[in-house]
Amino acid sequence: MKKDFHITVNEQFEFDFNEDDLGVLDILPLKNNHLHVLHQNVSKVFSIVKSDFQSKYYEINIGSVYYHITLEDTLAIHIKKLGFSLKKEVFSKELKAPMPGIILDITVKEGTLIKKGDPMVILEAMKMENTLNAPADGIIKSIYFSKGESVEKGTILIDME
Amino acid sequence: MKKILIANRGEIAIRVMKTAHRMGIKTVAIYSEIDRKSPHVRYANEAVYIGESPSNKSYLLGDKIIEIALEMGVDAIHPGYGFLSENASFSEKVTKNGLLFIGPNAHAIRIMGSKLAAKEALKTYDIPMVPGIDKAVSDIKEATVIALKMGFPILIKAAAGGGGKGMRVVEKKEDIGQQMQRAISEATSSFGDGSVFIEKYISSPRHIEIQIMADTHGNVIHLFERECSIQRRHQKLIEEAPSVVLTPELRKEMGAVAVLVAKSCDYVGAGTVEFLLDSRHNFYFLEMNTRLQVEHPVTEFITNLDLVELQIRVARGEKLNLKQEDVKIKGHAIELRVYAEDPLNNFLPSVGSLEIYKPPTGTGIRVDDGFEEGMDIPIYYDPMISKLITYGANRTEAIQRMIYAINNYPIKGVKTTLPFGKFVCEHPAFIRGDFDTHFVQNYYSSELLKKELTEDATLAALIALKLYTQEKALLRIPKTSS
Repeated sequence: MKKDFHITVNEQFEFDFNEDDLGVLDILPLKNNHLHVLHQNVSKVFSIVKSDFQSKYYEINIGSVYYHITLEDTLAIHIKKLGFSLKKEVFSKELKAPMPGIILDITVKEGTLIKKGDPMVILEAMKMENTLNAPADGIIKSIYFSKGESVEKGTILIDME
Repeated sequence: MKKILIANRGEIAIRVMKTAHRMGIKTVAIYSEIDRKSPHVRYANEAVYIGESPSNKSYLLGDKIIEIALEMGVDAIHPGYGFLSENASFSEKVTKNGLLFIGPNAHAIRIMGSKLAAKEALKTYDIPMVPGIDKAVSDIKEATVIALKMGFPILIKAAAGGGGKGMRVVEKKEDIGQQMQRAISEATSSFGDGSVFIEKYISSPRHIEIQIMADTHGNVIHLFERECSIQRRHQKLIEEAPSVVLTPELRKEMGAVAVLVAKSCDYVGAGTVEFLLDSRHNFYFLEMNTRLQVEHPVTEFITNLDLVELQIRVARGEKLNLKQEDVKIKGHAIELRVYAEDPLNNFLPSVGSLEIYKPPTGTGIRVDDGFEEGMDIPIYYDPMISKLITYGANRTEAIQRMIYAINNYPIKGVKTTLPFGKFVCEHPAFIRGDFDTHFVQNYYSSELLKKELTEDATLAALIALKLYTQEKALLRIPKTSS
């Protein structure tokens, strides 16, 4: 059955729900901005940190964990899918920094032919050395950094073609 | 001793200052550029800027630290752990400048700091060792020959190592070259010494260490064991005391060996002798850490002693006021290292700002931290946010308190090892006490943790959907008029 909402939690969990799935979600307001919920006999206390109806974004705290929740309706999902399939063709070969750190070594040069899995960059973060390997086969097009420079998470380090 | 300088930062600097203040000793903090806002700077009576943020321009500048200490008129320097704590020439220079070093002398650090020298020093004693070579190698061909003779898997280790840095397990011949290069490079950058050696890799060991304390009058006692088998990337994540597998006889035997190791290098102060314990309960000497360990609080809980106080008393030249038979184990303690790492993504560092940070409180809960709400996690140092330690009358109580404490430790802004800690505390193998250093490899995967977290995530999704539909229903009313 098709669901009306696609819900993403902390960019790690994805659910598809209808309003019918809410069932008996028994929510009771408590003191100090806390609420109590009973769902299938499980008892939890939570609080609402943020709630933005316009952008369908919510932030809820249960126990020690904070959940960022984004709701999308099915139409939005279709648009997103189309957008993604277009992008994929163009930008599939790049090496991004998976974490912030300092570049210790770059083992490839521009113009080098490389295979998927070949070591390309040694990135030091929190005193640990991490080898970043080639995400795909290709030729090195541009290297944007040199040894000793520090980079932020998600920065494109190397473009391939 | 009226005033001490703490040559460290973060939680351990604060931990040392707490005891010093209680003993009526004034404290001096040092701080790097990025640490101006760190709580350890405010916690001290005085604080001095040391240099730029990278540790080789700040907390590793031994000469500059000694200069500051002399200017500030301190009597002693406490090195904490990491940084200069196991640097023999630093200890030597501190003493030469007429200051006290709260830790062992340079001779002991030098011997135990090099795993090869330690093996040499212990040769004359009857101390069980892991099979391996007793000289450094750097040639890959030579290493391959040794490895083939010893049989795979092998372990490549930095001679000057610690904390899992410069350490690589090699399963097959083809991998030796690359892994050795990484180990040598890591060892060079972390310790300034690229020599590595090769050991037989004991495949399902428990990591058990014995805390020792020695004074300058020749008295050495041990303060029992800590079980540190829950590790990732050879770094400890959860430690507990006592260990569920040690019988009183084995405890006594390992304790006696640890005391012997300390005596072999004329050790002074707090130290830790690490052992591997195989599945048949044979134990092997691994290394000695010549400093106060990160996980010392579990020992403090079960012995009701303050290890920093003992360190300071020993440094002042006092005799230990305890005999071996005076120390007793009472209760059980567990420590979880709360790192800014994402357990759902291969424990990769997760850097950011602590938008919300509220450490738990309560009976049997101790939090040693050096951060507060609103602070950034700097990329220059270890990603440890805090140590969460719980104590109970028995192991079950300590575990349950840990779960309670984790549930009441809201952190927002960075991913942490808290959910991993809960996963371990609820795992049947951990509860049974049936695990080794491969716990993470054998029982943990991000998928399993994710599955456990899905329950609350589902609930969060449903709550959000309910809030949305409620608001939508409210908004529909004015909408009809337009």
